[in-house]
Amino acid sequence: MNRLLRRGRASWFFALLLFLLLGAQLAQSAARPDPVARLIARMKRQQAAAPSWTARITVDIELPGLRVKGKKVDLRFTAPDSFAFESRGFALLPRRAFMWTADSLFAGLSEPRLAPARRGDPTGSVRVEGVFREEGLLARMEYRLDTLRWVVTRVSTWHDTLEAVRLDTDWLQAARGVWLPAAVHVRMAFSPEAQRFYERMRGTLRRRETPREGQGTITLTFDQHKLGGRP
Amino acid sequence: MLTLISAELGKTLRLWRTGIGYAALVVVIPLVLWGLAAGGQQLSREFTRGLEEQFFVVGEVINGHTAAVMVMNFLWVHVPFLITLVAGDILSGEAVRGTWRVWLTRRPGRLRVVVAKYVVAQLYALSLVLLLALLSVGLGRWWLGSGDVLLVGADGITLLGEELALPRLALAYACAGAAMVSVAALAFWVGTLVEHPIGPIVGSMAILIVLLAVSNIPLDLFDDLRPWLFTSHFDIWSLALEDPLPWAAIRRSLAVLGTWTGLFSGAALWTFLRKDILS
Repeated sequence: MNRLLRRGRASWFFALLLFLLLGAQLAQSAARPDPVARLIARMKRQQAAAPSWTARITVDIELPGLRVKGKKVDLRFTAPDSFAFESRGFALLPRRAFMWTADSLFAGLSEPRLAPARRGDPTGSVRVEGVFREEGLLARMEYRLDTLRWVVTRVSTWHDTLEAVRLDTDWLQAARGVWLPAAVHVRMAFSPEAQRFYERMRGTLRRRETPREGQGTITLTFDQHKLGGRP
Repeated sequence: MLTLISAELGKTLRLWRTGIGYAALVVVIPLVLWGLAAGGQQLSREFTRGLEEQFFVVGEVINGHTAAVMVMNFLWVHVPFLITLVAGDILSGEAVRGTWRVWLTRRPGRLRVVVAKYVVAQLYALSLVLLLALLSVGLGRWWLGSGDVLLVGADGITLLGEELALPRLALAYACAGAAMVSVAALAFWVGTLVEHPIGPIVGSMAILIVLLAVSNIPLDLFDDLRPWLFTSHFDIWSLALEDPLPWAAIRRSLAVLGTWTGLFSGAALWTFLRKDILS
């Protein structure tokens, strides 16, 4: 009888212990944010310390329907996330190329998750994937973050199986822990439907064969970086 | 020959019809530039509205160089009509005045007369393009300042740096000159066919209207024909503002324009040298 009672107490004790351990685990995981949120938070902390800076940008755009070559634009970045541009004459700068801060990069991103690194990814890189939904359109996003410098090095936007936009950013170290963009390369691809629509918009007489139909590039080259000053 | 050309030039310049072309440009171009100076900001806003979703838009679109391109963009269809007024009349005008018999039965002979008149017709066409260039670029720079060249053409939007503006505009006007030379040759040839100046003027205009329509109506039916029409290459000037310069397309257009100019000139010479001036 006593043995039976002792055995029953032991079972109760183990059940209670298991319950406490599980509860503690659940409480701990509820208190800890998901890995993507932690990455973004870390990136924000890093960027919060970034100073204001200026640079000169050389803009080259080669898109079907838009060509700009060697246009110089002065950029003033005022911390934390304000841009001002100055140019002699008219200039166009792609908005996407200036999405460096965590807030602008991940705004509106749903279902974010960490994705496994791929062959060729630089050391210290992590991948974040998610989707953007806008008026029924779905875009799959892929971000490659450099966790050694806490900057984004690649952003890809996918529509179905088409990589519509790929944005690669090269960074240079302007001061200890301060990384500024050295070049932004944007590669755009157009779906056959978009290309056909564009073809209809062209003049009746095709005067020039564009060698790279269906795709375009934008390159922003930054130089004359100056922390806090004017270029 | 130079004396003959000079005499012919003086005679042509004294005609009121010759002044119409120059007067039209002298009135229209400052008017357009004034309009751009007064309402350019609104135009600039309307142009950039579609781009602002994807791009940061910096600075003003309108400047003297862009204004010159805009002037060219809507005048390249109309200048040919001004050319036909003089080039069409230059031969048939003599017929209607009854001066052919006096002219052609004496020295210097038919060939030299027709060549002198042809040269004057071409000089007039080129002088209109030169006036267009001087007024558009000169007044435009003075009024609106210099800057990048913005071209909205068949291949989309091209933005050329300010340092390239003047050489490229010069090339554009030279290319436009080649197109206008073909128009003068056409009107000159039509002028050899009839006895009254209204005929070649209206006839040349009618030919230009029909061919311009075929060149610009987006029907598949005309796809094979279009590249061979000289009117399809009237916008050759816009190629000079592309970046990089599409030399192959420029050469192709110049070849088509040159061939038609040669054909019209040869036909004019052939017709005129066999023309019966006695009946």
